[in-house]
Amino acid sequence: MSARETDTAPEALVALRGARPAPAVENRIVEGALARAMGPRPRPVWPWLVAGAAAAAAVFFGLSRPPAVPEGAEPVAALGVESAPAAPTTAPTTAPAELRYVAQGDDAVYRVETPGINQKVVHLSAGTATFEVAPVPAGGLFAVQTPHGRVEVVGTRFTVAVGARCSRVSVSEGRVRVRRDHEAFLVPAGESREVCRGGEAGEGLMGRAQEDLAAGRLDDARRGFEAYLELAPGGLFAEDALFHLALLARRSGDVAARREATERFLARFPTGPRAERLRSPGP
Amino acid sequence: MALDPELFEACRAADPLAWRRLYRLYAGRVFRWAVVKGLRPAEAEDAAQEALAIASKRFAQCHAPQAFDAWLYQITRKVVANTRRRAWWRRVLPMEQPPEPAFVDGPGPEVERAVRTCLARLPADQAEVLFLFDIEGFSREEVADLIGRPPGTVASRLRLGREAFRRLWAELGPVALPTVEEA
Repeated sequence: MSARETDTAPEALVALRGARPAPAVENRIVEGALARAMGPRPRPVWPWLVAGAAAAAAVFFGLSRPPAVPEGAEPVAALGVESAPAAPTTAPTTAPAELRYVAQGDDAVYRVETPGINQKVVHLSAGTATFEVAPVPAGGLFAVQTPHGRVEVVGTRFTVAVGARCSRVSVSEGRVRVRRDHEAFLVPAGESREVCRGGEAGEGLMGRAQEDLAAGRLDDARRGFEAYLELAPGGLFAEDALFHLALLARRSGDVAARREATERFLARFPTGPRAERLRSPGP
Repeated sequence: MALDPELFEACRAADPLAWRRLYRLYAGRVFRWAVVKGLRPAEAEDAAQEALAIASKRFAQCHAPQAFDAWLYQITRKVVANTRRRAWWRRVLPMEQPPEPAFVDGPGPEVERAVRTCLARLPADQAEVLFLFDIEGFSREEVADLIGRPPGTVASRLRLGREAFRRLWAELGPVALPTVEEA
């Protein structure tokens, strides 16, 4: 074999440079790696071994009696550790404000800022991204900032799509608070809202009405929705306002008010799941 | 190829969107590493997932974007070794089969099979140097760092590996090769 031959790479090897698997295989690798990286980590076994050994030693030396509770001491549950409300997400999470799953379109343009501990802001300037976030603790923050507004997470799964004039937020689990300038409104699960450049007339009114609704201040909410419809009868949130008014009327038990509010909604929005729900005879 | 410093920083900040981008960039490459190091395509797919997931969990150990490729290769090398160890039954059972093609835009299934067969028959240390230098395009110094041997040893293994590969190729390779221009 000549010296020149051993100085150059065999052509067959060079032919394999840059060889790639099928796109479907690449996709499976990406999704699988994400799932493995973000999934729950297996619990180590050694703490159980140590605990077991300690318990056995305690029994052996006759120390298994529970220690007396000092006067004035509170049990752990009363301090809120065990009595904390259940998290609104459906799966266990490992850290506050941690993303458990993210899917974004190929068009998503973003950067992530970490302004403080447990605080993360995704600046999404174009495209669409879906987020699933663990509940955010007091003082923590997880937000998606778009050119049209800011979406703050309470503990949920939601999609933000940035368009030329508006950003649309669709919430599938939990709820989010949408802020623009000094106004804010809540978007509950199963609903979506648009935040547009320049804002919509009465957007603040709607936001407050929805917050009143979420807080159980039903009369204030009703007045807020009516005020919005008076200000912007053909506005972006008219369907929401009419729908909530119809639901409030159903809840009040006043048959005449219920019929009137339902007809008012159906006159403008006769089709869709909301119309079907209002046509149903339930409470 | 060095990792984009901006992407490196975003990954360091545990930005999951950045990790998705990084996985997309490296999925095909890590898969190729695993296949050329002797795994079947299905095993290589699993090993690539595992290697990338480990990379995201231990990313703090990677000190610079320029070092990322070599660092990820070391992870993949260990994952592949573990996978091969787990597949011990294949070594003891007489189930020798020609390798299935793993790539869609490579040199074609015949050449690919023949290359993988020849590499599998080379001494492991020569095959690794050949793979890193001739297929992956690492420099001699980078290969020396990766395998923890001096550059002189790399040069020697490369020369012996090429000789042995050419001999095997003459015996096992397909008759006609596609025309390839070396980059």
